[in-house]
Amino acid sequence: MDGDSHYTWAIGSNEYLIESLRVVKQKIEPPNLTLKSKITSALPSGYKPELDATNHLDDETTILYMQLIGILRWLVELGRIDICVEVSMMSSYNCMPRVTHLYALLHIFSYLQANLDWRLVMDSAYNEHLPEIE
Amino acid sequence: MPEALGLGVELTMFVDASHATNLVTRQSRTGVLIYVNKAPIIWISKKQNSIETSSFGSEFMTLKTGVELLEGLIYKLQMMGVPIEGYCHTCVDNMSVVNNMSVPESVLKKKSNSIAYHYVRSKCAEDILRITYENRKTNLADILTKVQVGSTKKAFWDKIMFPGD
Repeated sequence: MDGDSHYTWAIGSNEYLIESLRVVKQKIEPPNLTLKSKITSALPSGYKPELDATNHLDDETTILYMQLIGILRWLVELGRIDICVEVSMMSSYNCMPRVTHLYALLHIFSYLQANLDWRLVMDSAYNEHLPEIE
Repeated sequence: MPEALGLGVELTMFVDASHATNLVTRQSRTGVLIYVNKAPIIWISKKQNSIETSSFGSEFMTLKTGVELLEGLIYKLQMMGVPIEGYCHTCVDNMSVVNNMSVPESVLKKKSNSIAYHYVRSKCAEDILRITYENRKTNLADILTKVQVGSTKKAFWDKIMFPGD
């Protein structure tokens, strides 16, 4: 940790993430999509998936969408709490996703690519904000 | 009660709701974060089924979900021989929820709210948990209900995650 001298236990999902990014890039090659760089938030600011009025995806891309959601859900389970809300929001559209919903998912993956090694702090003085129990 | 096999753990729970954030259906979002000692163990972000007319109502539904999860976690820990020290600190960022939970005879008009209230209240009476107020700005469950941006995002994440080695 920067500047701090104490150590902490942390869990990360780095290896799985790198592998899944490789798979995702492979999968989005035929629809001719790419991941962006320098992304700081998991979803575009002010993005509301429920207000989306673009076309529904065809069957093949819908399957891709479901696969991507599956990968993201597992990442959240492995400790990427930072995308928990976003993934939960996007998985509501799992059965009939629209075009920009898929773009939003790729935005999440771009965010993950830019923030590869975030870890979840498990136990340390780092969490001193928790109330003390007497 | 299974025999304790080790030292006890302390539980802390953060709950939050974002009222009517879905602009089409006006459903709310539940966010629950449960700590065992100082490690986050359960994190959940879920769209609520009901459509609440007040943030008070959606906050109550969240609290109910949170307490259900907490109960499950307590059973699981006890079965593994991990005793629980004291009660679970439950942090809510809605003052009227805190006030209501401290009054045993509170009468709520809506049935769904009333059921949620009595369920959580019964757990309070068993001293499984106690409700405390946590400022909106420091309630960690906030990150599980809203999409965070910029500096607020950073302030929250600094408490939970860190980048790199």
